[in-house]
Amino acid sequence: MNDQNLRIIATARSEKAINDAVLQGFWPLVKPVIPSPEIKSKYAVLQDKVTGKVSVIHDFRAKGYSILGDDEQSPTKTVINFTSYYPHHFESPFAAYLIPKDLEVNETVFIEDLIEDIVGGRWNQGDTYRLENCMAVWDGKDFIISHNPSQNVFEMIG
Amino acid sequence: MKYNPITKELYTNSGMFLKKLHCPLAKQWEELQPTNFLKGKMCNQCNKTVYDTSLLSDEQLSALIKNDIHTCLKIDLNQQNLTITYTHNE
Repeated sequence: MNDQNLRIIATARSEKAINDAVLQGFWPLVKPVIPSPEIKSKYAVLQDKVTGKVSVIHDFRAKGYSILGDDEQSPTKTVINFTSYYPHHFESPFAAYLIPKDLEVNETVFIEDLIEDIVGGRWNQGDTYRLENCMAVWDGKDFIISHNPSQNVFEMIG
Repeated sequence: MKYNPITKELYTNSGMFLKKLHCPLAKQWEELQPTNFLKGKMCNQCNKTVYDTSLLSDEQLSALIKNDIHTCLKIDLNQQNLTITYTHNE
């Protein structure tokens, strides 16, 4: 149970982990792991003009970078300008939610490691972040994800 | 300071690891109680101050974490004294 008294649904991300869970009595709801083009981070590479040393930056505000272009006086130059990429790497191309045998239809649960790529937050520099966990309702065959994107203000507490 | 929104890890500008942010109660800044203490708000659930890192220097933050590694912090990705990084193990 989590803090809201919801059952926690675990995710297994390998064949062995899935089959171990089966031996423990869970039913694995297997799904493909499909990267979403909507989930993206960005990077740029700056290079020292003398030494060749590079530094990778991810924020327009990073030291040494100007959106107006390289300054002649700057010790670095931009060798790769800001480029978007998918920032996650999952070993297995499939995963499974581990369904307890007594899970009831219409029961609300907490999924601790979401398999689906859903945008959970946006930063005003264009980067988007994966929703890592969320509440969901079991409809007897699958989970109906409960997520309101408008609630995502990019503040973090912890 | 530097922050990785994917790993939730916070570093000083020089790359020293400070802490990994995690709130098991998923609290929002707006839910916290304002106090007379200007650099933070009160979490009534944990009875702890949550510090606003936009008002702290790297040195102040390091001292806070050194004193209590479970110090609660608030970060806004757009705050002036922060840059975002996705590099692991700064």
